[in-house]
Amino acid sequence: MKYIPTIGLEIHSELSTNSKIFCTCPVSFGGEPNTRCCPVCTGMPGTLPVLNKTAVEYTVKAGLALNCEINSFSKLDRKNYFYPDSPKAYQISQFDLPICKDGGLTINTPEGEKFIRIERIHLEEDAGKLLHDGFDKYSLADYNRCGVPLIEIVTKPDLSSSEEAKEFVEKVRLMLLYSGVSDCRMEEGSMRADVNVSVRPFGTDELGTRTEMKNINSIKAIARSIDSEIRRQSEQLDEGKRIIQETRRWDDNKGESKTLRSKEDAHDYRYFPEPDIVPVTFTKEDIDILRNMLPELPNKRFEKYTTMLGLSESDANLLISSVSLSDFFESTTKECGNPKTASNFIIGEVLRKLNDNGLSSENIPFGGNVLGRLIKMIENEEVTATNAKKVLSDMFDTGKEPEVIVTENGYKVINNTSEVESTVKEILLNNEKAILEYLEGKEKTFGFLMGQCSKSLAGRGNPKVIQEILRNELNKRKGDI
Amino acid sequence: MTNSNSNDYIKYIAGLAKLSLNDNEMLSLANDMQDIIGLMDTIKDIDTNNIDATEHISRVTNNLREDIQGNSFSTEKILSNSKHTIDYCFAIPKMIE
Amino acid sequence: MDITKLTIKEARTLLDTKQISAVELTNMYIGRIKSLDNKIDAYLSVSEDSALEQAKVAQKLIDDGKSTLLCGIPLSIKDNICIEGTKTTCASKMLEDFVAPYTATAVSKLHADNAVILGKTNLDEFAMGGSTENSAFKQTKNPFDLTRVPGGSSGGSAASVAASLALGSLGSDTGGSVRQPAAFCGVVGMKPTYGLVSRYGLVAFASSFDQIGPIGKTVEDCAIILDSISGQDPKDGTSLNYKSDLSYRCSVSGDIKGFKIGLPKEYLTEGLNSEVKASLYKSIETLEKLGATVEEFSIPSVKHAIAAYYLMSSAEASSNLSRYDGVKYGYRADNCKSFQELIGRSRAEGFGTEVKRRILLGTYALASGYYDAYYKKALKLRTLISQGFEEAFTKYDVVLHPTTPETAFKLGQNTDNPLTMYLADIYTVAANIAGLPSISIPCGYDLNGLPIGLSFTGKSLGERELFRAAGSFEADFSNNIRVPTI
Repeated sequence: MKYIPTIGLEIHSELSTNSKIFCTCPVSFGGEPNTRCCPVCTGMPGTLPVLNKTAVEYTVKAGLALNCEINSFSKLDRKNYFYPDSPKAYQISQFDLPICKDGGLTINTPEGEKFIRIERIHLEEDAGKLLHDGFDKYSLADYNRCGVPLIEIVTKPDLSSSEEAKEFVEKVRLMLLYSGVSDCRMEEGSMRADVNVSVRPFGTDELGTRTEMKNINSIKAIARSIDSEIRRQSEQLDEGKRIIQETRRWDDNKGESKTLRSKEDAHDYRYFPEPDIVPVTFTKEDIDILRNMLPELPNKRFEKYTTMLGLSESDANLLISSVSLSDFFESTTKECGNPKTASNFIIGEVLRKLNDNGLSSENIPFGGNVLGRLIKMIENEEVTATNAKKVLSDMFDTGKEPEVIVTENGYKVINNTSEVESTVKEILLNNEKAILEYLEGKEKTFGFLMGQCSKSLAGRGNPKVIQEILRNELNKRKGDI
Repeated sequence: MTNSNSNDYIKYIAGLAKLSLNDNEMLSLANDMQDIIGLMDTIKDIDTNNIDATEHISRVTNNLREDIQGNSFSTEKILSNSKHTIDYCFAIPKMIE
Repeated sequence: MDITKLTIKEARTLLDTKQISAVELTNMYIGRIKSLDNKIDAYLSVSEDSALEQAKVAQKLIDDGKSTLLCGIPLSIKDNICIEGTKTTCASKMLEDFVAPYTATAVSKLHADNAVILGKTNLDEFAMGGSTENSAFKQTKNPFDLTRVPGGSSGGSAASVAASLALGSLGSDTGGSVRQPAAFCGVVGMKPTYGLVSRYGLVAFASSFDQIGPIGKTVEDCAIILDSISGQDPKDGTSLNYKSDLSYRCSVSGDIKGFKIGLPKEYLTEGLNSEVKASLYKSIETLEKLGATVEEFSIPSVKHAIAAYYLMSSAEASSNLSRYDGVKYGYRADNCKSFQELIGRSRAEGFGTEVKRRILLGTYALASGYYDAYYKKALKLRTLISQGFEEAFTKYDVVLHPTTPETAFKLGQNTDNPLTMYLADIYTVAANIAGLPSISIPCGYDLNGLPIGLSFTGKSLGERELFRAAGSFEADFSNNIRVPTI
């Protein structure tokens, strides 16, 4: 490779609080324009911001999940700029004393593990939405989104490729989901990224000029835009041209970026401390309380599942893909005592059922302990594996307990040998030809006869028991010949 | 700050503040600003090296609000003072982003 | 009953003893506004119908024996304080048609006490000025001399009280805008400790300096209003979690024997008019007669108070006024082809000259490359000034000084000279910088019959000492109080 790319990300994530950051308007997606607004979030004269406690706590939680240090003293600042999506013409954000700093996450690269540093995480308010497509002469401003709390996660320029960026963003997203601070729905805009890219010639140390692409709202687009920009900059340099430091607009449909007209001619934001909001302080105890509220994080769970529970890496990855799924797995395992079985059953059967029904793991209509009981029944040979799948299906559809379903449907495995014996004898009576074939050495016929017995027992026969009795009976017949 | 430099700089400041001043106003305000900034410059020589800035006079911290949802205002009320609205939105001259 | 001498306290007695009804009282004031305000121009808008409705409701409470101190009392409100459904113009072309969609907390509290709101009073545009000459709509005159300014920015409020066109008023004070017009108009005006009264609904000028303050004929009237409007507000994150255990009204009577009063040396400059100076020293004699000791002390940092104040307040103002872009509310320039043109022209056409000066100064103070030398430096001066006063209050119960260096000047005298206006704030700005309570009371009249104001400044949340000192002086001075003849 002729050029070494350097990538930095600024990830914005909307916090899933009940109310906006500075007012009591609801936070939710969509809706008719200007229906979730009040004088505060629309910047009317005389209004004042009052800081949402949960938004602050969520920022700390996100920071802890991302291994950051929490600043014991933090404050808000005004970032002044004129744009129609910003009703106050300033954004209340954080400048020099953000809530979180100096964190990061480890990602896996072909060269091994790599730690991507997070410089800071700060809290700020989101802006409104501008609509340009409806009218020839006008653009329209909708302020529903004004004041939705956002955290901005700023990395150091540690990423070197689009794959690394993709993995990093996926990991950040998972951490945020686990901490419960955001629903991270990129397609709804609740998580988006600004991408900074530069390249430098191989063998040099000084970073090249970087460009920025803003508000990229899917992980695929993040990767595509990075690759495109690396390519573009490399081509520019090859042609002897210089890279201009600028903001570019990424068009994911066209797969290309264009120079964006800047929001303000001068980017002098004239930051100064927000006089309407007093500073925020944290004691060690405050931070510990919030840390204890975090569930066990995905990387710890992955460790546990692979090293202690003996699951494969791919299975472990599947299970940790959501808090609800891994919690479900853990409570299933707790009940049935066999992590591998639980994992197989969940990945094989439960996930399939969720997919078929278009459900997510948050909507499993029964607890992991209930599934655990079903698994125990399989292990105790009270239900056959085949019938267990039917039981699971019923559990989803009817919400009934597995024991009830088994009884109602008569799935309980027949271990009673006399019933099996009489069935086997009956089958043999009607299948003289098969017996002869078996005795001549055609082992396959055994399977045929097994199937006949099973069917006759409506699948409730314990296969081992059927097998044993069938062999015995057939062996008896040997003596007859 | 020489006159011509200060006039240019005030033009720049007026641009930052989004005040489209006409030439007469610009000249008059630039003159005013010269005097006013002259007064402000009297603080330059005071020694404040070991003094902390006071950003909030009351020294209170953590005045936070519980995350309770309240009612929003009706769209009608939100738009009621605007001179130009379309389709329940505030209308501005078309922007190309 | 002489309306020109009526106070809130006296009106309360008249109402409760049924000597006058609430509707009659309100009609008296409405009538007086109709016949005299064309000379004074204190009011921008009068709400006769709603005032009478409020009076009727108040009367019912009085009849049921449930009246509060302000029940049925007619008051005026400065027009930079929002009242739902009414025009709140800030005396600016920018907000000429703005109808507030909500009510300021301080006014809600007055409503809860069933005060009667007569209307909104004139001010310097966006509260920026010291003469009410910066109003875009009309010029308020000083009731004592109609050729002179009433002071500012709460000129309309002060004039309405002085001319007995209201029994009391809410003004706002960022650098002296309640106290200075109160001094010029011969009435009482006070600025509370920063954070004591909610700013929610007060159109922001400078967020860390603005406070709503009462204007009244007497110290007690101001205390009564302050009792009603003070208290923590969940809608204002800078409002203090503080409730005085004794009402402010009760602090007014109380002697000042043994009170230690400090007089800053640095305020006794050449700029202090000789008559004002003489009145100051006469007042000191009175205070000593009442048992206080008055002593000069030095607080060198106040020499830089004006520069520091104008830098910080203008910086905050430049940001607070950025929201006026013609999009959501307010003046919108015609035929704009782009967003840039829309905001640039709306603001240039909607704002007056003084507002533009402050915005330019504020933008300059925050601009990259200038922030440390101007804004940040001013914040450090703020620390020095606050510390100076904190130290003074370890020795003194209150600090004493003139409210203004001169009495009310002629209309038009200073309009071309912004610096002269700024420098006249010399005595009032320190209280805003340090967040301290301060009150101005009449202490004399000059040879032209113009009122002279005396100020007391107290420690943070020291309103009670302030009212005590002011109340004691006022009681002694009461026979000398003059009322303007209009």
